[in-house]
Formats: sequence, structure tokens, C-alpha cells
Amino acid sequence: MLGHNLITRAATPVRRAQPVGGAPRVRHVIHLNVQSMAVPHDATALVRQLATVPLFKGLAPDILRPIIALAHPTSMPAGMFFFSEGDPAERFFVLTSGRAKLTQLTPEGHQVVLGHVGPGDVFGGVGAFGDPRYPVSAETVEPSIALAWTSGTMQHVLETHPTVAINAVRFIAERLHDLQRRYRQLMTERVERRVARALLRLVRDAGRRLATGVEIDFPVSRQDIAEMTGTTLYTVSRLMSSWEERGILGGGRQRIVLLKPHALVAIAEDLPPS
Amino acid sequence: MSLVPDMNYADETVAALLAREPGAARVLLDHGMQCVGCAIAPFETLAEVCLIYEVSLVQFIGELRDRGASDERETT
Repeated sequence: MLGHNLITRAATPVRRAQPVGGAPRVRHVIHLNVQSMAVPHDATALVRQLATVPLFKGLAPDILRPIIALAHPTSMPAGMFFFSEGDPAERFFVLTSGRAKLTQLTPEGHQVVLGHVGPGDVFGGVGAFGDPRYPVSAETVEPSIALAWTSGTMQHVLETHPTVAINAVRFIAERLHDLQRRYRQLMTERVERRVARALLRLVRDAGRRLATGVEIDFPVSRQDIAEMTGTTLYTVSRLMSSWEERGILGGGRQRIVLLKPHALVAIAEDLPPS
Repeated sequence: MSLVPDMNYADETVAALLAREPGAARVLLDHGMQCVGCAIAPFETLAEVCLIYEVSLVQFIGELRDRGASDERETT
């Protein structure tokens, strides 16, 4: 019965707002017949499925059931938006099937993918925590179904069920960890490319062919490289030592030899490793 | 055409090849070789870049020759 209600009460997909600062994209939201999609057709199956969702972990079925009853299933074909960056954060979502990407647009209009959500993942949660607008867009990459609660409803659920609140915090902490890891990668990769480019600039102007590779034909210290790239001596030392270990660089004090010049070009230009 | 690569060609650097025959850039690009404008181009020979990009040197030099031949036809 409950399941039937859920299915017939399919919510209207969120309208597509115009991206901030970019050209307006024409995307038509299609109203789907949710019955054809993968929402379990009986309430018990839905409760069983959602009991495995991290947000609802540890909740007894009789507590979970009324929470699920408040949800609106929203289904989307691929390439549609559950919500767009800057839209009022009115709803809170749990993806039950499919996959969506969370993106932001840069001021230049480039789309940056910040992460993906899969079945069981929470997204659009900011509204329940008081943020008025979505900081990201959520676009489906395959046909997807999500359960949506209004932000007010979810706020009430979080207040009355500490288990759900703790699960939500845990989920947010995991996402933060993930972002920190990616941020670190991004920072180190950028420095790595800068240092590789600096070495190649030196080779272009002062390279000399040796039997073993290409030498930079004047004394260059790691401090020189650090100053060329706006980074620290420590970072340059760490990078160059790791390249020496990988056999890309050789040489000695103030002497730099590119033993595998192409490997350095691949780092500098972000080419696929050959 | 001989199947043995022309060793003079093989030992020429990529930069020297491009200086002598700018049209060779087309052959490099066709093989996904990122040599055009590369800081290393003056130091790597054709034999070396073919090894790096896993392109057959025989085939590569053959394509350079075919290209040279067609260029000559165009100019005469």
C-alpha cells in the first residue's frame, strides 16, 4: 500500500535553472512514468532497501517506514538535473538507483565535476542544515531514481532521530575526507607539473645531448628551481628525489641530467604514460 | 621501397627533421607524437621517439619518404 502511494505520488522533477555565468543550456525535464523504473513495488521491499542506505543504518523498520512515507520518489533519465547550482535548497535526496554527478560551473562557464553519487548516497543535504541554496548541480549520468524529502521534513527527521543525524554527520565526514584527498592530489600534481616544465624550459635553452640523456649545461640548484616555480626548496627536493628514484633524472650536485626526457614531458604536459 | 630504415633518417633529431621538412609534423601528429614544439625535440632522434611512442621506425620513415615524394610531385 505504502509502496503504491510512493509510486503514484511521483514528484515533479526539479526545473532546470540557468547556470550561473554560463550560456543557458536547453534541457527539457521529462516527466516519467515512475512505475516502469526500479523502485520496489511494495513497501516492505523499499524499507528493506533503504535500511541498507548509510543514512538510515541502525533504524528499526517501524521507525524507517513513516520516514519513507514522507518521501517523494523522483526519477530522471540520463542527463537531467535533480537540482542546479544556485537553486533554492528545498529538497534532500537519497539516490536509490542510477548515478549522478555533482558539478559546479566556473566563472568561465566550464563544468567541474566535484564528485559522483551512487545508490544509497545522500545529496542535496544543505537545505536540511539551513543553507538556502544548492552549492552544486546534481546531474544524472544514467537513468536514476532518488527519494526526496523537503528540507523542512528532513530537518525534523534529523531532530527527532539522532541515529539519522549521526549517520548524516558520518556521511559528510567521509565526503570531506574524500575532498581533502583530492585537494591534496590537485595541489601536488600542479606543483609537479610546474617543476617538470621549469626543467624543460632549462633544457630548451641550455640542453646538451649526452650518451645517457640530456644535460642542463650549467649549474642549477634545487633552490633555483624552487624560485622558478614559486614553490619551496623542500617540495622541489622531494619531487626531484622521487624522479631520481624512478630513473627519470640523474646528475649530482647542481648538475641535472634528464635520463628519460619523455617521462618528464609526460608529467609536464599531463600526457598518458607511454 | 626498402624495408630497411634509412639510418641517416633514423639518427636525425626530431627538431632537425622539422626544420628541414616542416610537413613532417603531419606524420608525427598522425601517430599521436607530441614532438612538435617540445623542448626535447632537439635532443631525441627519430629512432628514439619511435621507441618511446611504440611506432615502427620502418613504417614511420616509409611515411616520411612517401610524404617527401608527394611534396616533390606537387612542386614540380
